[in-house]
Amino acid sequence: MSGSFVSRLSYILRRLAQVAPMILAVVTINFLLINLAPGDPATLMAGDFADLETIERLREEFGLNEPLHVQFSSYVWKVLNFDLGYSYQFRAPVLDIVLARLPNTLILLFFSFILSMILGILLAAVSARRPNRAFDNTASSIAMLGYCLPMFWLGMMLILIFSSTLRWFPTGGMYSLRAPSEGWPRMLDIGRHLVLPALAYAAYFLAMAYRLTRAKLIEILREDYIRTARMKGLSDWSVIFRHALRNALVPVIAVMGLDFGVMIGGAVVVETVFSWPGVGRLMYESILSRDYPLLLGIFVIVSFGIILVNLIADLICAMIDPRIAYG
Amino acid sequence: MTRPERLLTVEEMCLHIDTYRGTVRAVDGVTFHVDQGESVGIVGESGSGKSMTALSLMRFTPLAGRFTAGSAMFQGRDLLKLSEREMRKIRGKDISMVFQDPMTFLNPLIRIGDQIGEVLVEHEGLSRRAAFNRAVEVLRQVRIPSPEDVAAQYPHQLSGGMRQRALIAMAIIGAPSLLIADEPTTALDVTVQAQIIELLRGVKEKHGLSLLMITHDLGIVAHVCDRVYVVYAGRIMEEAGVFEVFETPRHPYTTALLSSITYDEESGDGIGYIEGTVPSLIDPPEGCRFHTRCPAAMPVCRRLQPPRTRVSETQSVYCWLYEEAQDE
Amino acid sequence: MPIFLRAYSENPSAVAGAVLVFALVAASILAPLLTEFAPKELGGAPLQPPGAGHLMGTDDLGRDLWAQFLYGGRASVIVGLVAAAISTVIGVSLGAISGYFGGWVDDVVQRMTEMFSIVPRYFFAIVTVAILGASLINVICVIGLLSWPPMTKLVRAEFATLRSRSFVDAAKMGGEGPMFIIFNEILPNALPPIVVQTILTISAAVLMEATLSFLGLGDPNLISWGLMLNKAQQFLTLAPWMAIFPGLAISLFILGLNLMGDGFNQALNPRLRLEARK
Repeated sequence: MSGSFVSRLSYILRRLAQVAPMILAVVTINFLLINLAPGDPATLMAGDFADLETIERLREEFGLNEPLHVQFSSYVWKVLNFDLGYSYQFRAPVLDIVLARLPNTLILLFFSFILSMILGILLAAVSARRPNRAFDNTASSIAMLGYCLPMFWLGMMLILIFSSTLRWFPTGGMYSLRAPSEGWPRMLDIGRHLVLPALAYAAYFLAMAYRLTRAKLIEILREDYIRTARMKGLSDWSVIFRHALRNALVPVIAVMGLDFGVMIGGAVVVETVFSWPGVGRLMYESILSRDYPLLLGIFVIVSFGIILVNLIADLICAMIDPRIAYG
Repeated sequence: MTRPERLLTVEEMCLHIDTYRGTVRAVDGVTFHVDQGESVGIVGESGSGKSMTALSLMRFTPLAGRFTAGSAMFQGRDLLKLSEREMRKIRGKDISMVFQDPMTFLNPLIRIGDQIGEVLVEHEGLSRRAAFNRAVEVLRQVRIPSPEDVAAQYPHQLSGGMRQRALIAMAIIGAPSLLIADEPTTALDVTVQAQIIELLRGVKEKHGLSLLMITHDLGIVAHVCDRVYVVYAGRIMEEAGVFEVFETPRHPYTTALLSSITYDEESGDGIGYIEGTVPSLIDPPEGCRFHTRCPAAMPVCRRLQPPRTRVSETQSVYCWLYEEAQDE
Repeated sequence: MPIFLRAYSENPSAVAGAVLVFALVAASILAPLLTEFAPKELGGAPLQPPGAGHLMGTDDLGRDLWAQFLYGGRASVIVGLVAAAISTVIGVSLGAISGYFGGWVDDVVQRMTEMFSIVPRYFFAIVTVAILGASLINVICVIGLLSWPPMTKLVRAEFATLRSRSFVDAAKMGGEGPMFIIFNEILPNALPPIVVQTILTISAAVLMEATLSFLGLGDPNLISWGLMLNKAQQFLTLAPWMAIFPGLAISLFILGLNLMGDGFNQALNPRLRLEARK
């Protein structure tokens, strides 16, 4: 017992050590982008909102006369101190702006993620129990569609059907104009606004979770230890939920973690289509207004978020599968 | 001597599997029985249908498989006709099974103790905690050192022999009346093989259960079994007490099988095999299945399936050679 | 190959996928023959619903949407093919080197691949194109440079298993150099999964191009389905046809590619094929 505890602890430490170079890589990419852009970084960082004086001050602040490696180390230092620059459009530090919008994105992400993981895995279990039968064929075809419809178009179609035509849900935004400001009514109001964007967002997650889990389950249900489980007199469902799913979950979580970057990319288009006031929408606004400090700041924060999500995914995998920490 | 009670009576069992290349007659009219407390061997080459016979009793047959004829009466019920739900109540509780490869038959992500205890959680409604404690006891019975620690470990932390012991513990924790062992030692080191065989024998004696041993290894048969069925290409060729098989084998196939091991030990010219190969089960030969390789084949063997001929109290043979002898 | 083709053609969804893809590609190539309008030609009444004169209606400036639909496919096809070609070349070379040589080369390549697969692809593409400028070349390069990691992982695994096969040893003993062995001995054997992965890369590239264009980061001078959807957003309730058709085109193109990918996979992999039929 203590042996496995030590090996797990050392795995966690090893895994944490891998985070540092990744963070450095993200910061480097950001620095390169700033320097590769046409014009000098100061004009870029000032965007369309600063006057000449500010640009001059920025030149000095960036130490543009210094050699590149000095610029780089001072940039790294800044980022590590959570100084992501200043948005001249909003007249506020980038970090503050992003943090203000982050909860809205997390609400959207959380609901669509929970919905699609639970539903995707359940449907995959039903499919994998009897592959290539009616249920599986139907579910797999629908999942294929969900996997192929671009999120932004699906979002537009949802608005067209459920909002413009049926008038069941609002077309966008997060609150009604005369929204109740607190308590359950407010939550309910947000919930009504949340349904369509969460659906548009979840469709892809759902399809992905379903396809991955189904494929893994079918593969694992052929394993010898599944026969052992059936030898004990377990029902098909017990075999799937107690034995097969646990084994399928490790690769599913690992792949979902790796693809989290793609998934979170969907936040930009979904929030844009539904005017959801989150980080994705903020990114779209910063593209339109060419607010580069904000754009780059969002990129850094999202990248850090993804590194964190991958770390968590790996730790969950190591918790489920003792061999990961062992090997 | 009073006749012991019958535990399992299999009659004319046929398992046919539909594939794209044709119907595979994996088990084709097999008849045998196992008495209470008896240990019975089913011996044959690989591809002879011996494993499929065992799997049929557990109803672990492929999706495309169907029982076209026969019965397998176990404690008054026909195993071949039970519903999946009824069958589940029997698995692990009344009949359980030890498989070939201990490396792949344990779930890598579940603690040994939980895997073993699960049988009791399922059949006796024990709590996981209580089942785990019982699992520790059974691990002790299969002579695993410091069973408390092993129960809390995962399969990858155990050696092959230990894993096979854990699988045996899993098979006996539900106190079954029939234990089927499918080549339980093939995947193990030679030294460990002997220990596992010894353990199976001990377990059988101590718990008074019946053992059905599926193997290609006549050495194991000699050690463990009371009676033997020799199968070939989905059919039984000969049944006999364990001494009769080695002393007075009647069927030419049994003789060939025996000589294949004795030659092996003599390392000289070492013709340790039987001429020819096991025939395809999709399109098996007419008449006696063995006639294509049989040194004593006669015209009748090609046309008609030989009937069962009793040659002694415990020995019967499916061969035309002895049918004639009896007629005269 | 004939066996492969027969297996593929016996799979209805794979055939449907190929038909979809070829129809959309053909339509975009043959656009001038299929419509009398030019995609940017002004003149019609704005926001006309689909009808006899304009098959898919007109947009807010009175331009024919059928023409835009046909010509818009070209952006998807070009970006999809070129970006996938770039990432296939990168992915296959890196994977081959890393799988064949192993050792520290493998370590370096693997770390790089891990790094690139962690980077949030969409955010990275958005930021890069927004800063470096939205031109066709930039879009293609960014997508191509971001899409190779899955291919590298796949090729590396293939090479790692194939390099220890006897035919490779035979070639080595015959005095062949590593380049010859990689390209003439191993690569042909690893080709089937590479083909499947390339098709999937094309589909991912098409989706990414559409997404960038939808966000206004496509080449502004090039009509594309994503750009059409970007415009359609403002008129969603007023002129839903502006949104329906280009989105349908993107979806069907991606669906077709994925069905083709699955079909190839099943046709090339007998075990999968058998299970699919069971």
